[in-house]
Amino acid sequence: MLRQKFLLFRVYRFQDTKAYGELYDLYFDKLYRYVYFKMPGAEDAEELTSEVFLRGWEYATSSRVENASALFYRIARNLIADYYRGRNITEDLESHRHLQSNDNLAEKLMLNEESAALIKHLRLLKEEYRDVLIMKYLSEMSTSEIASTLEKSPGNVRVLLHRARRALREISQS
Amino acid sequence: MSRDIISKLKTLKTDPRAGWVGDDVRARRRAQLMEAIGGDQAEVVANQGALAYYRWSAFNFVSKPIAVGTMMMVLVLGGITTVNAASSSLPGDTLYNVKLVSERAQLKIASLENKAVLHSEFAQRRLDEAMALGSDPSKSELVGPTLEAFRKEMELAQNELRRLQEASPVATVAAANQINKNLNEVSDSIDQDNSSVETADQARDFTQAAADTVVDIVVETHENTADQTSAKELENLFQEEVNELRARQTFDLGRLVVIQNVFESNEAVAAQVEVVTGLNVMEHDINQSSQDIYKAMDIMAAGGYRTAFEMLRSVREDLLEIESQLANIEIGITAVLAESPEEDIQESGEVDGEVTAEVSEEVIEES
Repeated sequence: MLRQKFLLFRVYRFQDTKAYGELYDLYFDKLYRYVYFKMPGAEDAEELTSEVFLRGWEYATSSRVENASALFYRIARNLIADYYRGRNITEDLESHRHLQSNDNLAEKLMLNEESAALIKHLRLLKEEYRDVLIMKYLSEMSTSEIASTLEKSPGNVRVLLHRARRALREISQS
Repeated sequence: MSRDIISKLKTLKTDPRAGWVGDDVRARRRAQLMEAIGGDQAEVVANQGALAYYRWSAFNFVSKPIAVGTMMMVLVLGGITTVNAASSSLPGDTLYNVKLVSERAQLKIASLENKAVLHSEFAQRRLDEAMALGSDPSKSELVGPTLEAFRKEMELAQNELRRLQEASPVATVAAANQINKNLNEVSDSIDQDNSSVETADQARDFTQAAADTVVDIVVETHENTADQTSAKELENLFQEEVNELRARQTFDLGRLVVIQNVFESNEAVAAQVEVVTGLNVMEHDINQSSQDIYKAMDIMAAGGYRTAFEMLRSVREDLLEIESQLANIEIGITAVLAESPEEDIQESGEVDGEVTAEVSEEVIEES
């Protein structure tokens, strides 16, 4: 956390792009995964994630930021909301999902049926349940880190995780 | 059971369909970001180390910085950050360069699909700027260059859409749809602007040229792929064009009726205003264009997309010609009425339901 604050200081005070690059390295994977489940396809997710970091730079060089994680996720939520506002959502989603399934990923990476089913069940979950499960078990964030990012209390996050696991179990069994 | 779910979730960590991303993607996007924020330049400040940070952080611990959430609200509400302040700046303003740099940075990280859409959004911004400048006499010399920038962004939007067409037909139709929405908003802005007729006319020409190119690209895409998405997009574009032309026909007929009424009630005015093509001929041409639209609709229904759009363009050009003549007549009427003394040409009250003009006694005596 101290390292993050130091990097933010350098970005704000000196417009240090190298420091920002380190922040990028720290957060890209987690942020991309968070965005991935909310966008029609991988390309859209990549681009939106890049946009988050670009906006984050503009913000962090002009204002003091205490929490980079919260900033990035907040920008991501705003951009995702903007993305879907005024677009023909249903058709885009369907056409992109169709394209994804034709990407030959299954052939290249030998994904098993169980994983595919679990991903499908994840997508059926309520958004906040899916978010905390992804952050905790795929992005390996601690409860306090998730709480800080989502601007909730650690207790709240623990309750969410418990409910999310239960919801996923119920969907998997039904 | 809970442990089972957790262990299964953990197996998805390196699954691309669960958002895992490879080093190549991460590195590529990082390089794009660094280029966009100027990270390829030498560091401006040497590493001044932790001491400066601790001094700063000790000071700020006392001053209690506000939470990110609140700061984001300031950002959302268009508060104090430089980029937000720049977003409303105009050519000639101090922060205008910040605005342009921000736009270039967005383009650098955008995919090919979004580059075309971004250029159409930037075109809209240039037009808004040109209109704002047009309403300020002290900045009138900046209108021309800003309009040129608007034209350039339109051109770039078309070029990027063409590039996208070569790469991905499906993405082309989606991008064309979004660009078309932006062009409609641009057209609405032009129609509502009162600052300068010349500015509006030029902007209208550029916008129409871009809209025609978008249609051509979607037609070509459909001819190459024959898929449902492009067919549906073409139908939407066609219907929008038909609706617009019909609205113009109705408006033009209304103008014609007003002119006819003025001529019938003011013979002096009719005698002084030049009418190149007869009013009856113009009325006939407007009605004929309705027939042409019906023919275009039949051809469209039969799948002749290209021919149908070409017929609509021909109707549009005919209406433009008629509207130009109507405008000349209206200007002529206005000029004649402005020069004539008020008592020469007067309107009386209604007589048998008709508004009639009375010529004053002086004019009768003079003739």
